[in-house]
Amino acid sequence: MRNKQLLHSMFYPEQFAKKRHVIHKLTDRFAKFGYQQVETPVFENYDLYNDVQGTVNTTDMLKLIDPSGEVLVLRPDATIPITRHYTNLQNLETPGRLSYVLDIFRSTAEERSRTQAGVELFGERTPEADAELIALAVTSLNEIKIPSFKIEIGHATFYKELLHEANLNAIQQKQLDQYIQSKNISEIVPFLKELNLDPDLIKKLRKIPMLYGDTSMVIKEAENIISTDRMREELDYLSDVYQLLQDYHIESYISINLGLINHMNYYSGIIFQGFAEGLGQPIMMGGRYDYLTHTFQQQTPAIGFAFEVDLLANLLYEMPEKTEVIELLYESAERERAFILAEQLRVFNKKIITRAAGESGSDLKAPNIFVKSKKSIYSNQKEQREFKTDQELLEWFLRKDVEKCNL
Amino acid sequence: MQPVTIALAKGRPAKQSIDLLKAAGIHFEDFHEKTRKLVFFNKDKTLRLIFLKGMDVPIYVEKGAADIGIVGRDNIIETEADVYEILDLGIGKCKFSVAGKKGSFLPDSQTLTIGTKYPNIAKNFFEKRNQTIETVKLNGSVELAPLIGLADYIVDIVETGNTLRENGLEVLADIETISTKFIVNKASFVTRSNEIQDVLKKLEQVVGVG
Repeated sequence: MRNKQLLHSMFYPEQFAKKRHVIHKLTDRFAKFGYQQVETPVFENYDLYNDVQGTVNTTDMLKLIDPSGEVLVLRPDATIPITRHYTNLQNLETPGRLSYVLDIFRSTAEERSRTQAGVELFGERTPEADAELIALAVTSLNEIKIPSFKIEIGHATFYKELLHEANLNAIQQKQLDQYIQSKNISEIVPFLKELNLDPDLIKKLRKIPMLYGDTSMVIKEAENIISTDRMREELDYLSDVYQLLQDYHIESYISINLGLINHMNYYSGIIFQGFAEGLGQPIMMGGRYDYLTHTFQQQTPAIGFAFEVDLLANLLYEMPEKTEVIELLYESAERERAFILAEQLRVFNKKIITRAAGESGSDLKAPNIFVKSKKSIYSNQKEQREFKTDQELLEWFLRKDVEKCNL
Repeated sequence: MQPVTIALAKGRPAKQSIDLLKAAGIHFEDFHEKTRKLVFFNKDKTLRLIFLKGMDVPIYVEKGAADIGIVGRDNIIETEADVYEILDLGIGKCKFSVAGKKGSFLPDSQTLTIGTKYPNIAKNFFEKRNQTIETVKLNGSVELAPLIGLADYIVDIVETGNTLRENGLEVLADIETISTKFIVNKASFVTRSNEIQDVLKKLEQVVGVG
């Protein structure tokens, strides 16, 4: 039992202010690219996730049983319910652009829940759509001023095309994925030899983990291992996306890694991950999932990504802007006037706490406004000002704001 | 610019790793064998070397507290760290084995009690044999466990086999061979790729690419 421990850092107002800032910037950015925000239910049917194979590990889901005996799960992912929702729409809008900010629940994570902000683009399978999403991700990270980051682009099926004739079983496939994604070249070759694979195929497979870095170099190297028409198409597609990214002027944020593997099995084309300097885990993940809609009797290509909001919030060292809270004290006879003044100040976006003044003046906390009969006094650590009317005080505040804006 | 941090397992394996770095032209001047310091810098402060317990090296690298780690594969498998195991350095070669009292054998149809510093590796090995085991996590003198009766068998690293022999034990089954690996944090691999590739290339020239 971890009783009473404060596991959640968002308990602290400064911390939460950063998180809110990140969410605000992201949703604003998503909206500017034409994405409409939606919400999915917290409680989902267990079968929804059980039916879509190879997505969320069933043991990772937090389950509960409702009074009728039905098994529910706490939303372990946003993409699947949003896809189901989209395919259920009567009048499909194509392309469909949806975004979300939702808590995701998993039993494996230390905190059990984390906030993801992401987008899904339905109905388009073009390099333009893929590049748009990557550009959206890059500009979003710039918007929240993440100092140094990279987006790593890979492909979910490119290397798997090579394995069509190899007939690996599930355990062998998993082991090979593990070697490839950890770039463990010294163990890949003995492993493949033991499987009695064709020497030419082994030669190609051992190159996969090394296909990373400079894009034009990687694409040239990848030409050498192409063995099917499908691989040719996918590589040309990838190269088209890269050219689009150059026109977005964001190629300096991009790194190619054809050994990238995502454990979400529904990915079918380009996949990508975002990394920030000094943070071990990805801050963003996404990719193309053209066949997920088939689960819901639709054939709509789709692509999406999700940011890890809590990680992004922790990357912000200081709050971009912190406005002070002003305490407004009043003598009991001036209470009504004080409440009106407080509300007028709030109209100017001031943060006001009202409080009856005590007997002595010793309970004054700067900054404050003291409402007395026929006058009010503003004071902070540096200065003190007296105003004959409330109007005077309001005008002074307004002037101060204008000056600040002009600075 | 922050220096690139290299985490090394302290103690006996450190000497070999430092020699390898030296051969690759990467020098940490103030390092000598008897030092108690845990942090060192190279001359132009672009690289920082830190010394950790072996089992902590993959964790530091996975979390991004260190960009690079030089550590035995035993520690990588046991911690199941999600890192790039990009280069086999060819040093610290040894193997994981199951050992028991001399003259005993490894039954395959009963639940065994295994004493080990590496419960995950023990579990994975016996899972592949479809055998259930109970593990007793130990932190040292593992060879004692079967002698005193704490466990039936042990799973441990075997280099020469001398320690086993002197304690009346012998290897009953080999699990896998291990050696020292060059590991890299997955984020650093892209965000600091130039610096990391530089170190990697230098080491590749010394050990050769496998």
